[in-house]
Order: sequence, then C-alpha cells, then structure tokens
Amino acid sequence: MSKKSGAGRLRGSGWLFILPALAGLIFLVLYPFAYNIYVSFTNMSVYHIRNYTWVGLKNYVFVLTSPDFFTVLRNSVVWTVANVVPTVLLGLVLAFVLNSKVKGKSIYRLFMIVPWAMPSFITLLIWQSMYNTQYGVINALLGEVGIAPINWLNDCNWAFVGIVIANIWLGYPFMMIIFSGALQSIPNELYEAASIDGAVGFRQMRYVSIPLIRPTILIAVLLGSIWTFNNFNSAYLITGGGPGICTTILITEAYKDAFGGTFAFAQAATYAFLAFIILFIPGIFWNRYTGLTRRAT
Amino acid sequence: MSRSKRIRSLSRIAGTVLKHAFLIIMSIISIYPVLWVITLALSPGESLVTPNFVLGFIPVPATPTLAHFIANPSSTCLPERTFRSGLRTA
Repeated sequence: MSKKSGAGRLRGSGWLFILPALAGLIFLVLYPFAYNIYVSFTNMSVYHIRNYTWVGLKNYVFVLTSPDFFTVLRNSVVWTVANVVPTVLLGLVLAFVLNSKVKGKSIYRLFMIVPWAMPSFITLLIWQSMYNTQYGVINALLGEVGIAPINWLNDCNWAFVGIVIANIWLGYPFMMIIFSGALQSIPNELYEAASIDGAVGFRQMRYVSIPLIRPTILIAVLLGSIWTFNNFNSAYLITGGGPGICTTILITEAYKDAFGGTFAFAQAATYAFLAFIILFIPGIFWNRYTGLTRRAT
Repeated sequence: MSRSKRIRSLSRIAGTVLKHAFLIIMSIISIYPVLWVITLALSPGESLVTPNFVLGFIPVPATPTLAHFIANPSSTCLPERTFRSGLRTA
C-alpha cells in the first residue's frame, strides 16, 4: 500500500517536473497551431477581423482550385530540392576537407561561418543589388570572362537560380558546422584500425566516416528540407516572389495573402496548414525509412 | 627516389593545392557579400550599387565615412535594442 502511494507520489512529482515544459509547449506551439487550423476554416480577413464565421472547406477549395496553386507548389518542391542537395553536399565536402590535414583550417572555417554572422535580410538585399543587371557585380564579373549580362531579377528561370544561389550561400555554413562536429566525434582509433586493414584516404571516408555520420546527414537533410520549404527570407526579399509567380513558394504566397494588400488571413492560414501537411507526410516517410527516431530512442 | 614514391609525393602536393584552391574560392564566396555590406556601411549615400573596386572586384568605400553610424536617427535607440537582442538571445 505504502509502495503504491510512493509510486503514485513519484508519478505526481514527475508531472510536476514536466509541467513548465508542457505549459510552454501548449501555449507556444499547440495553441497557435490549433488556432491556425481553426482560422483556415473561417472567413477571417481585414473585413472580418473580429466577426469572422465558420465557412467549412471553402478556403481549401478556393486555394486548391486556384490556377496558381500547383505552380506555387511545384516551385516550393523544386526550391527545396535545389537548395537542400547542394547545401548538404557542399557542407559535407567542406567538413571533410577541413577535417583533413590542412594548414590554416581555423581561418578558412572562420571565413566560411561569416555568412551566418550577418543578419540574413541585410545580406539578401546585398545579393539583390549584386544581381542588378546593369550595375550588379555578378554581371560585371561574368562580363570579365566574356559572358553576356544575365537578367537575374526579371527572367523567370534566372530569378529562380538567383534565389537558390543566395540561399545555398546562407545555408551551407550550418551544414558544414554540424558535419564537422559529427566527424570530430569519430574516435581516432577507428581510423587507425582502418589504416591497419589497408583502408586509407577515400576508403576511410567511404567505410568509416560516412557510415558513422549517416544519422547526422539524415537529420540534416530532414531539418534542411523543413527549413528551406518554409524559408521566407530568401524567397521573398530578393525577388518579391516575381517576376510573376516564378519565385513564389507556398510560404511567400501565404505572406502575400495575409499582408500583401488583401489581408486574407484565412487563406494565408490555409496555405500554412497545407504547407504543414505537405511537409509532414514526407517527414513521416523519411523517419520510417531511415529509422531516425528509433535510433534516437 | 623511386618513381612510385615521386608520383605519390606529387599527388599529395596536387591534393594539397586543390584543397587550398577550393577553400580559398569558398572563403571568397563566403565573405564577398559581407565585404559589400561593410563597404556600404562605410560609404556615404544610400545606394546599394555604387561601390569602388580594388583589383577589379573587391568592394571598398571610395570615401570612407562613419556618417551612417553617427547620423542614423535610430542610433539613439541602439543601446536599448542591443540589450533587447542580447536578452532575447539569452
């Protein structure tokens, strides 16, 4: 009896310990998330800011049948893949190079972390000016090697390439840092044992380093995909989603709906919830396929 | 020195040169837009596309000035904003 009440007391104090975190989770994550879902089923806009009413699936029908939705969705998917793949590869290559015997690696590492130290919205505006067709430095440099000026900001395809390049520039330092950390955590004895077995250079990387940092790579790909899919700054500040809707992704479309003049908050909430579902389903598959959380627990 | 040893040492040197070339290029790409930010901060005027260049591509302020740091009307709020940023980071 006394044992039982002791266990009960323990369970009670356990709840007490997690209560602050639980409260934070409810108020900072679950409530806004649930509110967003609720708003997506209403007609909340600047005209119905307080007296909004339930409209059922009307917003979802409107968004999913709008002629631009699938273009915007395709842009979002291409944007995510075009960013995550090079960012992860570049981060991985740099981490390997900086983890090898290279003189001055701390200086190189310092230089490469610099993009992180600047506020992204400032550097993105700088990228915008560098892409200027007439005065931008990128066209000036291309002109030096005999390449004709590119209309970076007004050509549909080049605008997309432009925002992808800028976002890769912003994103690879993070990947480099986490892969460097993962590589440095591999015990040296494993490399020594591998070299005794005749594995040196590329083989060590292939059979020792890559398998051991695989969980980190998988997490980096998942996080990178989520962040990039929902990345507003790079996709909006350089081109404003244009020309037309060439560089518009779901999250910039949500912003435009909410604050771009129409103040259609319910539609913006619908886009946000659709973006969540689009990310959630592949995220679950990725988790199942790679066993990420299984490994963690 | 045997031929195979020479080849090995040459390939090691080539590898080192390639590594440094790659790292130097990546360092330049990394800091270039930041240099531009610094140049603009130290240049008079408001334009985003008027730097001077050294060696054809390194942006430097033509007439360096601290005017943006001094005359910015929001600079009076700087200590308060810095404190707020620090508080948020903490």
